This record gives sequence, structure tokens and C-alpha cells, in this order.
Amino acid sequence: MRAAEAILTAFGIYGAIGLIFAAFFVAWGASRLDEAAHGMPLQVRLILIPGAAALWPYLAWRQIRGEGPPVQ
Amino acid sequence: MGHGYQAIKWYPFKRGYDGWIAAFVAVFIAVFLVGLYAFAPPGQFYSPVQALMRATGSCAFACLTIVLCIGPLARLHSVFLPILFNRRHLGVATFLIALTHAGLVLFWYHYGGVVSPALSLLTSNTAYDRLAGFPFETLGALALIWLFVMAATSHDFWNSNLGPGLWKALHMGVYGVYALIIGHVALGALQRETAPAFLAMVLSSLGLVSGLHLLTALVSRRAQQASADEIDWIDAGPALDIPENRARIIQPISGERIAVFRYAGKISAISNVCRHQGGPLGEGRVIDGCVTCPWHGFQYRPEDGQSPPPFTEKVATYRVRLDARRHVLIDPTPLPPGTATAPALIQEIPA
Amino acid sequence: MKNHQRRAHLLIWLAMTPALAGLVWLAVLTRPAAAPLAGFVEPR
Repeated sequence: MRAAEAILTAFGIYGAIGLIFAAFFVAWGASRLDEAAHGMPLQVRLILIPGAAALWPYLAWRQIRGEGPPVQ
Repeated sequence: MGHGYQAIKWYPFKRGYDGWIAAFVAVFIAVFLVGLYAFAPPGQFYSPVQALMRATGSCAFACLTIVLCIGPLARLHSVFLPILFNRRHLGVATFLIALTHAGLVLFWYHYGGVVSPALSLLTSNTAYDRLAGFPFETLGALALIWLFVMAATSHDFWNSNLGPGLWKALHMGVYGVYALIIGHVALGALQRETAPAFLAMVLSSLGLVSGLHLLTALVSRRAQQASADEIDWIDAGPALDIPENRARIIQPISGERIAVFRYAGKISAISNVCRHQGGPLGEGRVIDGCVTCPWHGFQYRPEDGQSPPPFTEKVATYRVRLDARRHVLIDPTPLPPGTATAPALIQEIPA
Repeated sequence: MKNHQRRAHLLIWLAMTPALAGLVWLAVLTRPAAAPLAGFVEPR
């Protein structure tokens, strides 16, 4: 019970930070990362919210490092 | 091609594709519900919510099976390429159906108690140490989380901003999702539903998905070994045997496959791997003077491996020449991506 | 698809096929004899 509560709380906190980060990301952060994202239509920004909320630690790290799209 | 994102680039083919997905889901659920009530064993009763739970769960499982079969089918035969083209829509649909299934379960079994539905799901059964009565719901929940991550990152924006490596790794997780779902179904539905139809559904999915993946891997291995006779230049066979605007794919002993294109009386060789998602360029065609990837339509000029402006993608090129028999000879060492190299002219009689 | 990815796909499926088939087999073997809905939490 304690473990399950801890897992769910951690999940909730991760998701809540993710949603706040996602709002920032689709409004400004995305275009800092990728020139092609400048002036994206609203629908695209909305579509990007779930992904930004899910991957926020990685995206935040990329924002801090301030680099462009990766190449393989 | 990383130039001005749109929500979804709609055109008739995609609308038709999504229409087929919606029709499949509707027909599947209708047939399933009719079958469930018509063939329920005596004494077994399903409330409408319980029936819908099983219908949506089975439908998501069927969609995931189809999603997983598309890749190997498209490698085995090009007639399946059109369904590969928009596979991500089917993936998102799979997530939405699975989400509906999970919502029904939480509502029916875990809602309205003293603890929250999610906590009830995690704590109502903790018998992780045995197979009979295993808390299979947890496996389904983990699979759903990963389906969400894949659906949420299916837009081209994520493909170019996570990079092909990380993006591919995230989406290769679909194999893990499939394993979790097989566990979820085997330890859940299969233990309780003794009708042979349920077992048949699981086994045919597993046979289809595993069989197709193993078959494709073996076929492409054989193709690799068959073309392993090279000295310095690789003989890629007679130039005129390559159909106009098409390619022959060559596997050098080491390194990536090479796509050898014939177009406008010329022969050029570029890497077989598309920069977008690793699609097989050699299975594509030359359209408007550009090699066009069969997966998502990315284009490269055959002479220098560069995407036409304003795009910036580049693939490796290879030096080519023709011998006296007009066989194409290829230097298997790749030139840096985007390097221009002279095409071999088929009309020219080589010395 | 790159060569190492091709190999990875083959290895994944060579390992996963028997594992998943075995899991299904075990699950069917350990089926409870009666009470088809046993184990489900009753609705509250």
C-alpha cells in the first residue's frame, strides 16, 4: 500500500511538472530547439503537449544545453 | 522533411486510411460483442460494460498485431508499402482503444471505493509471486504507459528533434509493449475465458507477428550472403538489367547496403538508408529526378545524395563505373554524405 | 534499416518467440479449474 502510494505520487508529480514544462515548451522552447518550429500553427502546438509532458527531463536538459536537432 | 510543421498533412490517401481504421474498429467491436453474447458458455453472464471491456481490449490487441505485421510485410513485398506509409495513425488509434479499455476497467472495478481508482488497481491484488491469479492489470498498465509515450511522440517534430536514434529506440519499445500485452492477456483473459476462440486469437497473433519477423530476418540474411562476392570494386550486374528509374540493392561485405539507380541513361549509387527513418531508398523510385523514399517520400538527388532545397538531408554516395560488359562496378567505400560523384553513362562505351 | 538493427530485430524475435509462447502455455496450464471469474475484484 505504501509502495503503491509512493509510485502514484511520483507519477503525479512527474506528470504535473511535465504539463507545466509542456506549456512553456510549445509556447517558446520548441522554436529554440528547431528553427522549423517557428510560427507553428496552434494545432501542432497542442499535438506536441503530450510528448513534451512525457519527455520533459530530456527536453529540459536540451533546453539548458541550447543545441539544435541531433544528427545521426 | 523538417520544414514548417503541420498538425497532420492531410490528403485523400490519409483520410481514406483513417476511414479504414475506423471501419475496422467498429466492425471488430460489433462482431466481437455479437460473438461474446451468442457463444457465452451457460451460466456465464456479461454486463454491457464487461462485454465492452473485453471488446476494446481485444480490438487494441488486434490493432497492435496489425501494426507489428506491417513492417515485415512491407519488407517482404512492396504491395504492403501503402499501409506502412501511415502506420503511426494506426498506432495512435491502438493507444486510444487501449485507453478506452483501461478507462472501462477502472470505472467498473475500481471506481467509487474509499481509495482512488488507480491506487485500488495497484493494491487490490499483489500476488506477484504466482502465475494463477497474477495481477495482470499491472502488465496492461505498463503497456498503456508506453503506448502513450509512442503515440505522444509520433509527430514528425519528435522524429527530427529527438533524433533518429532516440526516436527509433523509443518506438522499438513496441516489442516490449507486445510482450507485456501477451502477458496481460495470457495471465488475465486466457485464465478466465476458457472458450477456445480466445486462445486461438492469442496464438494466431503470436504466430503471425513472430513468424513474419523471423521470416523477414532470414530472407534478408540470405540476400546478404548471396551478394557477398566482392574483390575491390563490387560487380552490381548488368546496367541494363536495372529497370529505368529503379534501383538494385547491393550488400557489401561490410557497411550499409547500397542502392544502385538507373535513370535518364545514367547510373548512380547512394546509401540505401533514408535519413528520415531508415527507409529502404533502393525500394523507391526516381521521381522528378530525385530518388524518393518509399516510406515517407523523402527525396535525394542521385548524383550527390542531397535533398533538393530547401531541404537539407544528405546520404552517402558511392563511386560507380561500367566495365566492358556494361556491368556496374561500385567502390564499396562510402563517400561523405552529400558528396557529388559522376554518374556512369550507359551509352558511353568504356575503354 | 541498418545492418546492426537488422541483427537486433532477428535476435529480439528469436528470444521473444519461445518466451511468449511458453508464457501462454504456462498460463493455460495454471488455469483455475472452476469459477471463470475468480480473481476479478467485484464491483463496488
